[in-house]
Amino acid sequence: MENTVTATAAAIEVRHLSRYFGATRAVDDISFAVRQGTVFGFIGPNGAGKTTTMRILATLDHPTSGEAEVAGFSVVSDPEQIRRRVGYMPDSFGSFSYMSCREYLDFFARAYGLRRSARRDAVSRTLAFTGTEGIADKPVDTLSMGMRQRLCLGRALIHDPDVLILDEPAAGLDPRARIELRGMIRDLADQGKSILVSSHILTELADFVDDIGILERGRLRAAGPLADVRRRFGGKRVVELAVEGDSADVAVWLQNHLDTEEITCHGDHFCFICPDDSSEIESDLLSRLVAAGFRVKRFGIRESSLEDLFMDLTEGEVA
Amino acid sequence: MTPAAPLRHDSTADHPLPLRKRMSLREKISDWSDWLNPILIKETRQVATSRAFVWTFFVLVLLCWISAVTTVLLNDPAIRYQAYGPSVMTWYGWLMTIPFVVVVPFATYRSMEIERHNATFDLLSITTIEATQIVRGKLVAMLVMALVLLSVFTPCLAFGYMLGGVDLAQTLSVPAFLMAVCLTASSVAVLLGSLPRSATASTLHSMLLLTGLLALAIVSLAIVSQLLGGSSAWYLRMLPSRPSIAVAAFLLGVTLCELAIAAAAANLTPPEVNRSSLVRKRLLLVHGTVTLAMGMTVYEFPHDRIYLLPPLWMATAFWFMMGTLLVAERPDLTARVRRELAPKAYPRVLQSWRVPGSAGGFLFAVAGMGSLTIVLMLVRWHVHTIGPIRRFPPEEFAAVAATNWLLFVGYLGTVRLSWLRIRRRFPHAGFFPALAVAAGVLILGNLVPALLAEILWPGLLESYSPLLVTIWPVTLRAAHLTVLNYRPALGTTAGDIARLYGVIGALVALVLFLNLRSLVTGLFAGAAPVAPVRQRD
Repeated sequence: MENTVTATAAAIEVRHLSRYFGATRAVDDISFAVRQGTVFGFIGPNGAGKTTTMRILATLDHPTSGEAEVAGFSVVSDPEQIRRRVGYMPDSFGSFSYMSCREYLDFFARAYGLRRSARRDAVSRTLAFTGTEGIADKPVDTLSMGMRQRLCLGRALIHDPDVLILDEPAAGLDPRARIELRGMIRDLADQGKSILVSSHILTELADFVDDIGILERGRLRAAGPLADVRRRFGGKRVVELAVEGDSADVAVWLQNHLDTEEITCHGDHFCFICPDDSSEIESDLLSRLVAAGFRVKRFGIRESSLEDLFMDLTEGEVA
Repeated sequence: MTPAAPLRHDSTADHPLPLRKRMSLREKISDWSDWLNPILIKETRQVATSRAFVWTFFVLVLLCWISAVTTVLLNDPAIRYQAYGPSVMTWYGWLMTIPFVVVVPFATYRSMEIERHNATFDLLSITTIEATQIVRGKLVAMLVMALVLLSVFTPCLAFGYMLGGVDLAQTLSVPAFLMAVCLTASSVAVLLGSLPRSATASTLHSMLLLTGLLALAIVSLAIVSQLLGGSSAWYLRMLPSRPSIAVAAFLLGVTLCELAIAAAAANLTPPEVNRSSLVRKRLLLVHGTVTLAMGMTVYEFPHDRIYLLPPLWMATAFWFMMGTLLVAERPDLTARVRRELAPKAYPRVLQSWRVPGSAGGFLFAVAGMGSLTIVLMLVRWHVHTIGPIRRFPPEEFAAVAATNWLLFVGYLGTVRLSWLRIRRRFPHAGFFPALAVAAGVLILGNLVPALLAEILWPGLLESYSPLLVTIWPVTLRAAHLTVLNYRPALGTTAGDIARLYGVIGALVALVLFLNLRSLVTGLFAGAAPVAPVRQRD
């Protein structure tokens, strides 16, 4: 397994980081880097150690061993410096009752030491960016889930940090809110912010992350630019095929003529992974199928998805 | 709702408003409040708009109004020429007691507990706000609320004063006393609210606190009645005639509140950070005021032994409790903590009292109790030089105090050594098991020898023997009655006394050696260099 990724100009750099809770190894000797101005997707099953790692990077927890640097400062010895430069969005909202959205953001602006017009400007900009201007005077504990997440992101952004750590920001959101949140994260990365984001929704992550890290049982299974990881750990192309007529004949024909481990069949729809050295078969496959008398309705080849990669690399175990 | 506005502020961007826009009053107030603690602003906003506070405020207004009208209607026309002040003021005093002694401290506790329950402490922890600011902000916000509630009673107190029978000092003493109780109880509540715990323990703590506050309210009611009724309670007589003791007691109260605030802040601080030094500094402050209070007591009452020994025992109990908590601290220091230590060994020895860890804590407690003992002895001797002493001469007091200190060292050292062994097996054990160990050492050290002596040699407790050396009360009594004057009390002889000091001295020396060995090793060998903070910007 690849446990180390090197990067230049890293906004976050984690080196042999471990965190034990008694006998449980929540995070076990992981190393990775988040490049400046990029989005790093942190994925893994529940209990994989994502939140623990993020809490350590946000200076809310302490590593048992190893080192991590955020914005060039050590989480072990310089946490105060990191707090000024990092925005953290935990997986829980953490609302204050009897407080409006504007007051909520105003409080955190004060908490980060913003004064006078700088504070007012920060609140206005954040409300505008997160699209919460219309609900600025609404109590925070009456907000919908989507609006809460927007406000939560706003809170993490209020002091204009260089690095953002977002733990499951899309959890519980409807599709529209997810798409909007994704757009906001991409905008932030385009502005030069470095973002570490965890999510369970892999298809979404694939659309906007630059790098990924796959974590399971506290161990980093793979990390690096998404394309590289696909090439190194996946690299398989999936053939999707639909035919008219008796699908059993097609299945038999495919098994006899292709060297592939598993063929999935749903009605008249077939799906299988081509062997690594099968480019010739791929190019030839369609014409051979037609020549064999099968009436092909649809034929396509796609790269294996992040979900496929995730399923290949993980075993569904927790620490 | 699609995000569009750029987040970064661009000063060259178009401004839809004139640059020299006139600031509104709200903005001016908002700017002015920048120098205030953000937690204070947040809490004040939250509490002022909470239903509980609004209801409390209006119910009190209603009760005060009904009280005033009812008093006038029921006592008219007698109220025009008789002094009804004391009875009316007592009623108002009682009415004030519940919000000040129960409602405000419990609201402070709930405010801390809700932060923990809603996981908002994490959000605060990653800002630049310090834990002490969080605790102080909450406490001051609650006191602001107490002042708002006090404003409800101000016209009522003026009304009661005008009815006659109470002077201005009595009138003002009621709110002053209740505010002092409110501050003290809220400090304890904030400390209790900061303790990490499970949901079950949280419910238990709430119930315990509420019970304690109700008991305190009953005591406060009695004191308010005494304040307004011109009572002859001893403390009310003593305080005006002994202002030095009143000042010392006031300072002690303030420093104890500070200690509670520091301890609560320490509970909110991650364990990897140095959360010990601040508590130790506050403890030193409390120690200073305790010493002052003890010294003043001995100075003011030099002839009466009642005022000499109880303060010494209370100070011993206080330091034993604090010492147990200090020796229960983790011995390992993180890189963050090590960076704060003096780089050289000798300055580090001098600052060892504020260095986190059990050995430094032991040394701090031993030195604290020792310095208190010495101060009390010196004051006692000073009093002896300026006036005749009828009983409990200074030599006798010094002997008792010294024996007390030796036993203190022996017991606390034994607690630490026992705790270190237990911690090796259970590395994540907290403070409460440490207190249980201290209680266990006390019981075993006192009760077991006493029972054995009584069972094996009936009547031995009547005389003194080195066998009984660990039994604190018996040893102190023996020292008190016989040490210097060789009085034949308890059947003790001069030889017994020599053996007593010999055995105690040997035991204490052994315990001290075993405890200080790790301190010396840690101070001289554990000074690993830690890199300073990098300046990047």
